[in-house]
This record gives sequence, C-alpha cells and structure tokens, in this order.
Amino acid sequence: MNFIRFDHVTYQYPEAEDAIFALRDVSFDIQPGQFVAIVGANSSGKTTLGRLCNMLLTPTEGSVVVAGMDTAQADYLYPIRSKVGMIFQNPDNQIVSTTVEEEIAFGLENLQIPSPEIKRRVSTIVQEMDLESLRDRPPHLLSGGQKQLLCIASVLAMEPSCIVFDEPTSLLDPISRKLVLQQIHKLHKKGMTVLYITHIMEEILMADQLLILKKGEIVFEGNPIDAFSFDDATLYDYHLYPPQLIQIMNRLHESGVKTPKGMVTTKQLTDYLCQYK
Amino acid sequence: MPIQINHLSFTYDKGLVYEKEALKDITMTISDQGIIGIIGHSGSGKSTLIQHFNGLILPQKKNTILVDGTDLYKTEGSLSWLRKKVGLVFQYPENQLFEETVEKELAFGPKNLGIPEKDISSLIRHSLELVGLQPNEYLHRSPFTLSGGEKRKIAIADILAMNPSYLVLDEPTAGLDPVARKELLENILQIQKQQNMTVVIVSHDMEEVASVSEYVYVMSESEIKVQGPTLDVFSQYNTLRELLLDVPEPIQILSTLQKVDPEVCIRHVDVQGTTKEILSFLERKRGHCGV
Amino acid sequence: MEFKKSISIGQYIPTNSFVHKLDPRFKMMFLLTFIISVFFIHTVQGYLLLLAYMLLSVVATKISIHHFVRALKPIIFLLIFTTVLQLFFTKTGPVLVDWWVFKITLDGVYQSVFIFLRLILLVFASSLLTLTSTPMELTASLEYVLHPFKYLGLPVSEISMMITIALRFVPTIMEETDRLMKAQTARGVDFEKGSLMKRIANLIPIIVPLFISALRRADELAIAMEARSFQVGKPRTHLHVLVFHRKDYVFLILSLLYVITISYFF
Repeated sequence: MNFIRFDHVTYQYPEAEDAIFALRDVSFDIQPGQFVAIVGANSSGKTTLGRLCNMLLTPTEGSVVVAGMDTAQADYLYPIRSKVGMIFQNPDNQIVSTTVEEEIAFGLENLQIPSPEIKRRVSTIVQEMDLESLRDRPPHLLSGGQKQLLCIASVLAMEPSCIVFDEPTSLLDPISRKLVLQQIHKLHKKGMTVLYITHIMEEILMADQLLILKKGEIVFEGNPIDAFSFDDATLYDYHLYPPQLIQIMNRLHESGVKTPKGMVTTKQLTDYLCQYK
Repeated sequence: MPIQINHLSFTYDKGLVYEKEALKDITMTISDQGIIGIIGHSGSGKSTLIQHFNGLILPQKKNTILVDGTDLYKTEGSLSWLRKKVGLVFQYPENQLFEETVEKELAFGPKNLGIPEKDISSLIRHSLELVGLQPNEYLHRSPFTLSGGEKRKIAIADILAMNPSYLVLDEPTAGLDPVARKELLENILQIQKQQNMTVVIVSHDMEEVASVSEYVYVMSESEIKVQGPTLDVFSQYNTLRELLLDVPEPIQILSTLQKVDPEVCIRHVDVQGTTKEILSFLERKRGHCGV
Repeated sequence: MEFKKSISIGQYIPTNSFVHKLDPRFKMMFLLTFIISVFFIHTVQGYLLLLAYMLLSVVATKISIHHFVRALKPIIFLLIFTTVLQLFFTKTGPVLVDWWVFKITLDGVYQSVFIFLRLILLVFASSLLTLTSTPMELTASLEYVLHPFKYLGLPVSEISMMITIALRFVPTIMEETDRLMKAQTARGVDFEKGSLMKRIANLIPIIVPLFISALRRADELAIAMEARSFQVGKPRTHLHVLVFHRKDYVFLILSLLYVITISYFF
C-alpha cells in the first residue's frame, strides 16, 4: 500500500519563459513509515517534488496520489494538506503568530476546529515536544532550532501522517541543527513518513531510502550508503559529497580493508578497527 | 602592524537589568599570520569580538584594543581608516546588496572611504577577479539577477574593493551547498596568498576551519578556552567535546585509535593522511599479534 | 545589539493583576469612555478626581509607574510646547505676571495645568490598555468591535490577521535593520554625520535590502500558511475565545459608577 505515488509526473512552471521542465516523467512510490532523503543540485527539481506532495503544486502531466487521493482534484485539498505537512528552510518565514501556543494553533484554526479541541491538541503537542516553558514566548526570542521546532509543532498539531522537510537545517547552527534532527528522528521512530530534502550529506545517512535528482529526473533510487560508493566523477556530477568518514572507509576498501556495510558513525569504525585481524 | 587585544571585556547594557557580559578578559594578537580561525557557538562572544576589530563596537577601557598602534578607546574623528583597514564580511552578506548594477555596488565602499574616482575602477575590477568573476561579464548586471553563490561573491568583493589589510569573515560558507562551500574556501585561500592579507574566519564548522586555518582560537562562554596551531588544538579531543564542538571525523577516529596505540599521530585532518595513519595502525597491530 | 532581544511584542508586561484578567473588550470601551470624559472636565476638583481614578488604576495593574511615565517620552516636546503656549498666550482672566513681552494670567495658569494633566491622563489611559493586554487580546477585541462591518464587506478577519503578522515581525525586522546598519557601516557609511540630504541618502542601502527581504518573506510566509490550510476568505476558529466572566461584570458596574460620579463635574 503506497502512501505517496508519483506516476509519470512532469512539472513545468507556468511563468517559465523557456519551457524548463522542473520535473520530467518522474515515477516513484513512498511507503508509509519510510524515511526518504532527496538530494540534487539547486535546480534539480527537489523543491518542486516536495511541493507536489501536499498540493502546493499540481502536476502538468501525470498524477500524484496521496493516501489514495489524487492531487488533481480540488476537493481533496484540505484532507491532503492535513495528511502531508511541510517544513521549509527559513523558520522565521513560516511563523505568523505572536506566541508559541498561538502558532501551534494556527493550522487548527484554519481547519475550523472548535476552541476546546484546539486547546487540547496544543497542550498535547507542547508536552510531547517539551515546549511548556516556551508557551507564551514570542517567536523572536527563540533560537533558530527552537523556531524550527515550533514550525514542526505547528504542523504536528494537524496530525499528519507524513511531513516533507525542505532543507530544514541549512540555515541553523550546529546546536540548533542537532535539536531539530533529534526531533525528526523521534517522529520517524513513532511511525511518521518523512520526506527529507537536503544537501547536508551527514543527514542523508539517517534515511532508509535515497532519491537523487538531476535536471528533473531521478538518477538514483536506493540505499544512501550505496550511493556513496560511486566513483568520484559520478559523485561530483550528482552533487554528492560523501562525509569524510565514508570517504575514509572507501579508501580503506581500496587498500584491502573491507569495512562492513552499514557503518555510519566513527565509533562503529574505530570499534571495527580495534577488533580487526 | 597587528590588531592587539589586551584583556578586553565587554558588557552589553551595562548597569541595566538585562546586562550581558559578552566578552571576558580576551587577549589575542592578530598579525601577519595567514589565516586565523575563531571557533565558537552562538553566544560564545565571537560576533561581539569581531565587531571590535573594525570599531563597530568601541572598547569600554583604555589599552584594550590597539589597531596599528592606535588605541580605539575614546578615539576622535572619523573611523573610515579603520573600516578600510579591517574589512568585515557579515553572515549572509548577500542580504546587504542594494545597488542597480554590480559596478555601483562595488564602488559604494570605496566612495564612502573617499578613495578618488580614478582609482575606483581598477579596484573594483581587481576585486571581482579575486572572487573569480569576470569583470566584463558582471559589472553591468543587476546584483538581483545573480544566483545565490554569485551574490555572495559580490558581497565579499564589496569589502575587497576597499583594499583592506585584514579580512574578517563571519561564517563565510553559511547556507551554501558542499560544492559552493569547497569553492569558496579555496577562493579564500587564494585571496589570502594573492593579497598577502591576514584573514580571520569565524565559524562553528570545525571541518571548515580545520581546512584553511593555521592558528585557531576556541571561544566559549565569552572566553578563549583553547588556542594554538590548528592541529594542536584539534588534537585536544576531550576538551573540544566538553565544549560541545564537533571535532572533524578524521580527528575523532585518530584520537580514539591513539588511546589504544600511542604511536598514532594526529597530524592530519584530510582523508588521505588519515587513511594512511589508519593503515599504519593496522600494520602495527598485525605485527603485535605476530604470525 | 543584543538588548533588542529583550523587547517583547507590543508593550505587554505580565503581572497577575485584576486589570490583566479583565476582558480586553471592556477595557477598550472603558478607555474610550475615559478619554471622552477627560475632554468634558473644566474644574480643579474634576481633575483631582480623574487623577485619583488614574492612580488607583495604575496601582491595580501592579505595574511600576515608571513604565507609564516612559510612555510620555515620545510626546515630551508636545507636552512642554502646549503647556507653555497656554501659559503665555491665554489672554483672559486677572493678570499675575507682566514682564517685558510675557504676560501670565490666572486663567493661563489653569489652562496650562489642565492641558498638561489632560495629555498625561490620555497617555496613561492608553498605556493602561496596552500594558495589560497582549497583542492577541487587542487584535481579538478589535476584530469583535469591527465584526458588524463584515456584513458591509469589510474583510475583518483578514485585517486582524494582517495586524497580528505585522506585530509579530516588528522585532524581527528591527533586528534585521540593526544587522544591515552594521554591515553598511563596515562599508564606510556613517549614519550619524553629514547633511540632512546625505543622511537620507544613507538610508537607501538599508531600505532597499529590507524591502527585498520583506517581499521574499511575504512570498514564503504565504506558502507556509497555505501549506497549513489557510485560505483567504474562509472563516477561522480561534485558540482563545473572548468570554465575559463575572469579574468583567463587576468591572462594568465600577465603570458605570465612574461615569456617574464624573459627570457630576461636567
């Protein structure tokens, strides 16, 4: 049972003068509970792909079906947007309210949910995400990571089954980034389907599945670690820069030290090396 | 002609309820040293520190900052000379672009400093070349039609056009993808060599700092906690971990192996060197197990 | 500057006072009543009573009077100017001082004191509202008051949303402006020196980037709002709904008492 299905999707931006296709004949499936990372150069189509998932855009050709609902049908707008939430790159440019709790309530207010139910859901989310002490705080007094957590909380309040993250940590400092990644990891563990668009290589390693886009087409679909074993020229072409750890392991492989597949932390590597015979 | 900092302290909103001590007793000398790195998280004081370098923040005591021998405490007159000497590039500098053409944009700084018109043209051409952009291709274009990476280069060229002796860059690669990041760092290395200026890079990305700096200051909680040649500082793995800094992976690996085999040298931050070191480690290990 | 981070949105100062807990709609309407009544008082006793009410209210908010006084800062020149004007240019009444060109009459003294008090009372009264009500409460009250105009085509809900967003971004944009000023100062701009023309020209490197950033922000914000099912024109519910409580009716009675006693002095 697919959660999201892209069926021969092509997308062309209407204002584009020279008919550039952002996506060309793209087909893939996302299973419920999967963590899919999406990478590619800036104009590879990855942002377009993300926006097609929650009906911010609808395909020029082909179809996108979310939980059995075709995004081409306008009636499905609210149900699809409730099921698939989106988090964007700049946390400041997503927050509209004057306090944390008001922001979390925003989406629910749009869905015309009655006030007592809104209050209940806001309290639940605030507790789950450990934001109780920040409830009345105005957004400009939050750190970058806290702001992004607030955006996630605001989306979570709408009880989605899937969240699309479009480069959510690229403007954050390392501490904020860790905070956000921890939260996303927690969500995935609880069963959230995650679509994660990024150019930060270490983050790709969190995913079950990796899609590489190039000029609007999918050029790779598979395990993230497999992608890093391409030759240098291909990696450069795909805008993939393996983290130093992976590079080191690749070179060790070339020298005859066959590190087992699936190692993604330095601890795993050093443990392996210390036991190596 | 160094930037000399002696026991510099700084408190925001001194005397008010919400006063904040941003710098505590900082001492450092910035002179002809190639590329210097200042590492620290937000709130460590690094932003406050660099704003002292070019006089955006003036010292609260005598003899705490001297630039080229001039004490910045209660200094009289215009600070144009200081803005020229110490070029400061802020985070996401592309946000400051405002002129209609790249040419006007680059001329803005020099004009403000009173540099004569006849010299400006060659200055801006040179600064564009320094950042790797062809003057004839870019001078007449509007900055707003350029890509993100190009805009950033123009913003850096803005400062280079003022022909500074010191170039201070606050998180120069923030928000850039890996390709653009690598390019920019290489560019900075080139600029340093070509112009023979002192470059200070402020960053929380240790890998980045490791790849270009020769000398490093690590700041935390408004103080300098560690300083020294880059590799020396980076080999203090435990101290850096306590400061919540992400040590680059090669150093993490080599530090852990060094605990088991003291002969492991933490001399490298690059992949090649680290791999060699690991292979030597394994050789020695195999030797000990004997056959 | 770091200190700007301690500015909250609007002037709201949270204390646990009775005034804070009152329904903001009542507060707003009482404010209106108070302001109107101020303009009808012409006697010393009347002003004393007004002052007494004001001081009582200030005490009730448990907020230091320092904040109320601070609100006078923007109009300090107006205050001094009008007071002095009344003092020296009132022609009626017995003359008290006649020196050179200056003539001060008894009426002049009264008028200048009255106008001085009037301005202070108006500022303090508005502060009473803004210091004890959150921006959300104020916006919600406004929405309530404008509610009937919805049927005449006024997009009340949208206006309310716009006000909220504007308030939310004021501190953010202030920070942005601060950063821009630092960046342009580093390029040799001196914002404090030079002729008036020069200083206005110096604002262009601040205003243009702010404008561009605002446009981009509006774009991204709209998308983020749509992604959470926001649609212009569609009715929305609210997290906090304004409800009248018993204490609000107590306040209503107190206000009526006020109106009755003060009108004695009209």
